[in-house]
Amino acid sequence: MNDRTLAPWTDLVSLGTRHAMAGLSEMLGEEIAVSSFALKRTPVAELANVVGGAEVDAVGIYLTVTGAANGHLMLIYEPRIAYAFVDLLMGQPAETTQELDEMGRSALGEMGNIIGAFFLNAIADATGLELMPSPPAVMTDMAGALLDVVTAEILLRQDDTYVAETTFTTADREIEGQFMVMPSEELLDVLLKSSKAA
Amino acid sequence: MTLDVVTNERIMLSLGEWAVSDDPERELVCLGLGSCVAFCAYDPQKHIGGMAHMVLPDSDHGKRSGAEAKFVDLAVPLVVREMEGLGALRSRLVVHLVGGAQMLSGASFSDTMMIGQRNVEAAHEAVEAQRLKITSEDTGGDAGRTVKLAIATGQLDISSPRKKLTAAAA
Repeated sequence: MNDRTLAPWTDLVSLGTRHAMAGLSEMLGEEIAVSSFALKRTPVAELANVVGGAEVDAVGIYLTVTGAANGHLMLIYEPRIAYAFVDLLMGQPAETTQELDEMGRSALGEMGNIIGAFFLNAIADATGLELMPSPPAVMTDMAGALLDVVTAEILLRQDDTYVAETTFTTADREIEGQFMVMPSEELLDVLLKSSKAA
Repeated sequence: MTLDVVTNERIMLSLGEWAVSDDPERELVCLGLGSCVAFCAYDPQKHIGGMAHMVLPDSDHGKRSGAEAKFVDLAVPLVVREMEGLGALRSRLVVHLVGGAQMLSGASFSDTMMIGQRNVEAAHEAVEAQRLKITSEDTGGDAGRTVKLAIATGQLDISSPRKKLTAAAA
């Protein structure tokens, strides 16, 4: 993996993210636009800094990717942002949700389902590969502890990974968040080869 | 001049990092351990402490580059050796293991790596291989932990915000 792979990978993740938001818009019946998008390559050991440090409280939505190759998808948010998503998903006014109950968890899980499926479908269509998301796990804990779910497996093979930083805008609110798409080296290879061939 | 508040200078150990120190004003810290395990050791007579933020059990499988303390089987002997270098005596070392939680549960993830448990098992083996005894252990479960070791006193401070939350709700 090197810097030259960043450009085509950025295109794929950007495409996937836009499709994921389109899927979410469909689910909510409300337009959600991706107002900014940046893909960053970052050392795995520094991932927690992206969400404000290893000790801060965070909410994670995690899916594994299987099929043509393996990888991880993790949406990780500070609680304030996760609550904003719950309000959006449940059609409540902003700042209604102040803690994560079972209903909120299940709403975030459903969001993970939609985002995972649309994201992977878009990439599958662009590359001709079959990629399937697992059911999502919704977790709350310190950011470092949540990230361990993916970091251990990634560090086994590589020292860097990719984080997409996105801002979503709806008619009445703006939500910033990180969308961590962590391809295994194997998955990245397969994707980039197929993307070039396409 | 400002008045110094008596707080220790923290040495933060990120994934795969390790540190040893004999500076009484320092504190070794691992923040937000999930499946990772912190190896903590202390020589109470010389006031020398060591810590490693270990990510994976075994260096036989995987890429050996990057942070040296990434693998349990390499990190434990490394920290012990470096502590001896500062003058610590192996037979006096007080050893603590912290972390190794299983962050994911549920049927769909049953065949994932069980990495927390494997890290803890590997840490036991590595500690035994160094002919050391484990004095205390706070491992397993499903909640993240933060651990701090004060060099001046050897005092170990473990916090687990989610465990506290769960207990308060019960």
